[in-house]
Amino acid sequence: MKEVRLENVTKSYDGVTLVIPGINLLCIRGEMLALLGPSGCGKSTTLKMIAGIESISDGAIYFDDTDVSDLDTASRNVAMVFEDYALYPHLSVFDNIAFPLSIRGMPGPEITERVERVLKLLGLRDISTEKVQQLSGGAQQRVSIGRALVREPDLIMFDEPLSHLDSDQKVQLRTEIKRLQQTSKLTSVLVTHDQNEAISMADRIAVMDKGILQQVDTPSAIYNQPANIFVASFIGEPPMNLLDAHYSSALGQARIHFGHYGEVAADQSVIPTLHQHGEGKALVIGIRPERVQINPDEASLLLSARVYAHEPGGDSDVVTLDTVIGRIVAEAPAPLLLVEGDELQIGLDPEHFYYFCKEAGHNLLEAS
Amino acid sequence: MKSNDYQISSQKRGESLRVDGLSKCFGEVQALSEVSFRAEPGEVLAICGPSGAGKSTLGRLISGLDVPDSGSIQLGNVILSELSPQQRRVAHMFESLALYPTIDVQRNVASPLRAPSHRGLFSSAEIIAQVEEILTMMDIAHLGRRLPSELSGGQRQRVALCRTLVQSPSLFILDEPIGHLDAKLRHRLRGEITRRQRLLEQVTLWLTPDTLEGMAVADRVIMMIDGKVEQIGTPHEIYASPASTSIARLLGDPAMNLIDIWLMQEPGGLKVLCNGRRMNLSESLLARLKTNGQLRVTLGFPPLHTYLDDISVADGLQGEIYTVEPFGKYTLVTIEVNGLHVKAKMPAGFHAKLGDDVKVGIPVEHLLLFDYESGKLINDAVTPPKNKKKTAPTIFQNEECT
Repeated sequence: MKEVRLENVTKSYDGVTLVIPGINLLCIRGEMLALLGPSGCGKSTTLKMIAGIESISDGAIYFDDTDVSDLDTASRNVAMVFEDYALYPHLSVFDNIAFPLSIRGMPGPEITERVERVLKLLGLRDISTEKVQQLSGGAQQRVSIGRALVREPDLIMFDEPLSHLDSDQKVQLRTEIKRLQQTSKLTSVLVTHDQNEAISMADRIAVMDKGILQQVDTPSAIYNQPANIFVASFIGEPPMNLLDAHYSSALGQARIHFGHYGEVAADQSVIPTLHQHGEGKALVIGIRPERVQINPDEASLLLSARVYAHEPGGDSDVVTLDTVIGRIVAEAPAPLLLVEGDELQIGLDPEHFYYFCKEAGHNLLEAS
Repeated sequence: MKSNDYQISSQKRGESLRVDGLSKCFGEVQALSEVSFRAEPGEVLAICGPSGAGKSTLGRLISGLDVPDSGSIQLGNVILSELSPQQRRVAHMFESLALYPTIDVQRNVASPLRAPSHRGLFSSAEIIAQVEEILTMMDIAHLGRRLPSELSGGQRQRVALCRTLVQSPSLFILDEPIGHLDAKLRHRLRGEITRRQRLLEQVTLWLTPDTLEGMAVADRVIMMIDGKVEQIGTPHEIYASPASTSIARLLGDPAMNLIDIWLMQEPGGLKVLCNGRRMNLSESLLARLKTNGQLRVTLGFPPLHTYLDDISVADGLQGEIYTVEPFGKYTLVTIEVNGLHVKAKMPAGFHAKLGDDVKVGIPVEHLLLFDYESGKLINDAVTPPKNKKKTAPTIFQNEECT
């Protein structure tokens, strides 16, 4: 397994428009790095450039200290796990996993030894003689992971590996991949549009938008300290509430104003930051739906709200509420006995606010 | 049989849908068997189930793209199954999207309004306004002049959705309408679409493999397994009491823990075996199980209410930490217990090392019991104790439990 480094890598298909305007990214040896973003953000292009399926327009890609930019896919020793498994349906589990070794002319006993090791690692020994077409989607995907591992590649690429699976198998396999990642210390890159998969499996996540890296960090840092409005609103289900606001310290009272209709005392710890940002200058206040109080504390910003929509969600329910400062989504333990049109008082606790510059989008508290 | 040129008039909306005993075979495969349900005017009904459950087949039979082997489909007083697809006037969004590749987004979306089924209903100006409105709702108004090939997968899906929602049909069928979209867009659109559909008088059938999505959008949910309707209920009813383990497996993220256990009456009390090994359950749990007196049951309990204790605590299942997945709101912990995996949703910030020993607590008040053989939910109020089938199970004869 090797470390992977992208230095000022750019990609243009037509020589004019840069799909990737210049990306610097490090995948540390032994970690899984996820590339996450909306469709068209450049994550698949980045994956293909690392694998050598797409050429790079400028910059360099290193595997450890070797510049692989000009090597083709076959010479990079990269293994891929695809969304649709790409197995040989008429071959057994064993033969599918052995395939990359037998076409390289490896001696039989060595093949058997390597395949047995992978079968054991992935819990596939009991079904090694079965034809893959008889297996569930989750088991087929385990076989294709086995086929990737058996080559002992420098890097494994997972391209939407769970997209075709039913929800129960998806949850099961993502746990298995996470465990494999942690126990076997694979170096791997995961591309997914599903944030839950990235959060659950990856050691670090690179959030991309429009070809540009927005933040590269651990899943919990991405959730708790989002770098900007894009990351804050893209990560988290339901998405974070974003409210227009500004700060003032008139009459010696540090307060956050939401338009003309709502205001609350600013948290002591953030006053210097807000001061520096500037009085009256446009802010965006973020608050996660699970932090909106249905039974509010006195210290919170209290708002009269009317239920616009109610969505049951299993462990928790989601309600969309109309208030004087805008529409606010709240999530609370189920069942929440509210119906459309119900009126209630909700609370927003400044302790759980995120502060963004409306103009530039960055997180004021995380600015370096 | 009604005359062939009968067509459901465009004025005739707000009819209830009635499906009775619908069955369909494809060769050897029984895709649907004896499917029956009703939907009231304006109702959004979710049809959920894993891939291969028969959701899309059901949709295709209702809109007339396939012919059932038996059973009937009735909308108001009209027997739909006797009409051609055109006469049924169902607005059907396909999972495959089926956009016209050679015309732009606006014309794709307007196409059903210009088709014979809507002839004379709307003026050209009205059509343009309606198309604009629905494109705006889906955030793709700026793409109106593009061809489908110039769009991303998520954008194409929204075009197909617009083309379906813009119609004034007898019935809406949406087959995985928001599956390919990112979480942010999915949350916003599912709210807007259901709100819009509930204000209409037609029935909307929302087909999805994602049960949580179905629960969020629908008034009632139909759970399908292997071509059969396994349960119909409100989202809360289905979540609180899933009719079988097949359904329980599909509910929640992650779904509830399901553990098969053997119960054996012994002189010292009730002995519990799980995956071939002895298991210690708390007194309160045993009390609950005793009233059932079943020989073999499946325990179901949600990860949200599953808790972890220090290894020194007497009660609870002994296990070790298998994985820790730190989601933002909570941390999902998988624990290996007797070779099985149990999941617990712990508070955000929870830390544990792989391989750490822990005790897993099963919440008695949130425990569901399922019959092992049939997988059906056992209503403990009506199940009499029965202990007659005392055939010794073979699986644990060589284990440490003897």
